Amino acid sequence: MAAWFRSLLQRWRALYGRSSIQMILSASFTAVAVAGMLFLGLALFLRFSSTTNAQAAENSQRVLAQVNLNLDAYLRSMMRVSDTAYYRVIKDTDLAEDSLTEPLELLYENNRDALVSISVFSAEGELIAASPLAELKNSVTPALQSWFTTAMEQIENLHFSTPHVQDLFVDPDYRYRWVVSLSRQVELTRSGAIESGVLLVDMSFSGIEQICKDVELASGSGYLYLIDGDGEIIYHPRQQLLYAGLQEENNLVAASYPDGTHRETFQDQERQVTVKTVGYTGWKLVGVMPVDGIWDNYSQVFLFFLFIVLFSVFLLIFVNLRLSEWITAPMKKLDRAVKELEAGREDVDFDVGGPHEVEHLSHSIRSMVSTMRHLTEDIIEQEEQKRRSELDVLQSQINPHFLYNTLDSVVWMTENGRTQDAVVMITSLARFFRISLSRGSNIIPIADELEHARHYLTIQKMRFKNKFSASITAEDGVESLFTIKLIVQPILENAIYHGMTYADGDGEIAVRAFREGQDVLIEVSDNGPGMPEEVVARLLDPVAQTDRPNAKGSGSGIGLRNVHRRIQLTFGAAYGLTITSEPDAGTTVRIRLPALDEEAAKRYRKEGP
Amino acid sequence: MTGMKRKILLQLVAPLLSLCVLFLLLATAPSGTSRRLELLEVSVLLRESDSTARAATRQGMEQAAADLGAELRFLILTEANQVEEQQTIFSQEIEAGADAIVLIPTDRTALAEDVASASVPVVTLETDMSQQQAVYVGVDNQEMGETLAQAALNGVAVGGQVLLLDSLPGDTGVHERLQSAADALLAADRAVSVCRPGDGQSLETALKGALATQMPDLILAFEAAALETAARTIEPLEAPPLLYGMGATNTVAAYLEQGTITAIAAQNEFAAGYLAVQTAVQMAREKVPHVETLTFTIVRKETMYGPDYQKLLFPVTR
Repeated sequence: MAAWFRSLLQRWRALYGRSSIQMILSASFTAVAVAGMLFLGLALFLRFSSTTNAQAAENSQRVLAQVNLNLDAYLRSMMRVSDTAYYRVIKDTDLAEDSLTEPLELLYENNRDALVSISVFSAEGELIAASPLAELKNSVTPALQSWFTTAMEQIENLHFSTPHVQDLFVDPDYRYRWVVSLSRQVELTRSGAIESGVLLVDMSFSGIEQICKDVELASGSGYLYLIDGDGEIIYHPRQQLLYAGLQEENNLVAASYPDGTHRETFQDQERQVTVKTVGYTGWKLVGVMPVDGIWDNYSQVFLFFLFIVLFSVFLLIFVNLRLSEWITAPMKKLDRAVKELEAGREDVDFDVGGPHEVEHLSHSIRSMVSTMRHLTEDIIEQEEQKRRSELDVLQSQINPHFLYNTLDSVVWMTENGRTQDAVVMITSLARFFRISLSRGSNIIPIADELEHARHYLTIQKMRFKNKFSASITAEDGVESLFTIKLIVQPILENAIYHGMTYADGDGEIAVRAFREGQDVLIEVSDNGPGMPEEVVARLLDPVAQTDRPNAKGSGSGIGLRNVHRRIQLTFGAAYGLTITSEPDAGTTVRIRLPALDEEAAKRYRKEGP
Repeated sequence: MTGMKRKILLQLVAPLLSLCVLFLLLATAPSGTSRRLELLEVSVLLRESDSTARAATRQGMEQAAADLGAELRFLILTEANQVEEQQTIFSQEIEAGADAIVLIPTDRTALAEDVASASVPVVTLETDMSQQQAVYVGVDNQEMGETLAQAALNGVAVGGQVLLLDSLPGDTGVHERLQSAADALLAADRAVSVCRPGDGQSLETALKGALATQMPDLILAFEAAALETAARTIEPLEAPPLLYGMGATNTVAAYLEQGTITAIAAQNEFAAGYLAVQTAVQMAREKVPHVETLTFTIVRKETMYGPDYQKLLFPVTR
């Protein structure tokens, strides 16, 4: 079970991952709305169902009440016939003098539609008078019949029998009629003496049938039947089928129901049964409605309701699709814009509109893209500058004047027999270029950089006929650190051409490398004529260089600026050159570099081909 | 714009149209209870020349027709038990398009071919023609004859004379009853004679002739009309023989009550009529009918007004 849930969760997540925002919104809105509608529909349906059942029960009770009234009226009319026969005929007649036959015939004629016979018996069961038939069957013993014995036993009441075939009188037409007998004990007068007897009024069963048969419950699917207190059927619309055993009824159970509406299941059919007791007789009217029949009347209503629900669901789906599309349209547009940007388009339109969150997002992306473009441009510019600086360095390294002059000096030395000096100069020159190249690496040990400077000084000292002296010193441990290459030579070149040109053998250049905290300083000092402050300020000013675009060659300060810019491009603005100079006091150029060991230097290393 | 329209069409209009069509179909479809089955025409072919003796059966048939949606056409013969006429009517009814036929055969053998070749369902009453593909609704005739004979044994001593009324000339269920009763009586050492009307002779005349020749101790009749005739014939006699019979008409009940008839074997005629039409309708609607042999009861004067016997003998008038 847990595995199944996990699998379901995974599938759900996968589906969620694959779905668009619009689809998720649509599905969520629709699911929530449909669930709400179903809940509402179910609640209404249950309410409707309850009301329908209540209405059906109420309708049954109303119908049964009406039938009860009619039946009660009919039975009372029969009781009035009995009362009339007793109080207006029997009590006023002395049997020794008058006959009851004539008044009974009259009474019968007045009620012949409802009566089968009216008769009076003595306490011994002898027929005293009867109408319309007056000949008693010789096989009949009235005193043994239940209507007679009941009347004699309970003399104060009128007694209604269940339907039976009237078997008292000889009928020349052999008619056998179903009747309901109303019997009572009466007092007969014979020669002034009072004696007991029984008055029997046989009501036609069809009278009761007429009252009950056309009653309809639940548009024809329901019916009504009548039972006595013991559950014996008095009337049933399918009475003969019951008598023939072709159908069954739940009458014995219904006899135990109190008045009101009940639910029962009979022969696998659920039925709503309404019971109403008929006042005097204790009979019960039972209205039966199959529950299916109750709903038949409402099938069209239910269908219409179902249609409304389905229609609403479709409408909801449509509205949700449109709504979610409207909500997600700016996001989709933004998504498309980002994809276009990824594809390399530059004129991407990020103006997607929509709600303020999306607006803000698009604005942020636009801003970010703009920043990225500026940064990219900056990087390209920096790379360009670096490339240009390195080109300048390379140009300076292969300064043809320096090379020609050096080679001229070598030629001159050789011609003058100074072979040894020529060898030294050539050796230094070779060494100088070797370190310049450094196999294409831009990062070299400080020891090499100082060695490079040393060879340069050697060459220049020989060219300048030892007008100046030079010293290179390094603090312990500094030489093993790393620096970008060729940063000392341009400074030495500046110092020689501007500081030592006019020296007369007393020029001094000192190169000193030492550590200062996490930095390494390489200081190049000369005792040349120095510079005014404004010249010093202009030396590292890139604007000053721009102002003099043609300023090249020695003395222009390009070499210093190149070194300064290369250091800052490589290590940041905290590093670079600082120049201190005073006229007639000399100049000191201090190079500040981060102290890089071999491992740290790798980060900046840019190997050549 | 076209794409948008198509989208709207797909998302809303098409489902809604489908829903509307579905709604109309459902709304116009008749509901389960209001649906009325097509009215079937069922022809009821009696073997009598009037149907009064079959009043209860007819009531049952009419009740079934009303319940199950059938229209009945009762057809009697110009003269009772005329085989040829019944054959003609049988064929005519099938040709006229009757959906089913309920038949009380005049002669099983004579009608066998007609019934076997009938193109519509045939249900028989009184005479079992199940061998001819007809469905039989009724009692077990042999058992009924035997039971009545057993009941009659009390009324006639060993060696006593019993007259059997062979009221129908043909091969019918009534004749089966007679044969079975005769066998039972002979087996019980009673002398059996048969009263059979001659050509053009009525049963009453034949019976009177038989009674004049030799007064039996007991008469057995095997259908209602013969029983009524026998009762009417012996009623005036000063020392009439005992009369046992089959059938449950009001006249029979009256003679039973008067004592002219001693006992009857009665089936529920209403139930027989109802089940016959019900079976015919079921078969016409191509359903498989479930038919059981009906029961019968011996009713005497003393018991005829018992609650259950009343219901058997006297159908509630509608």
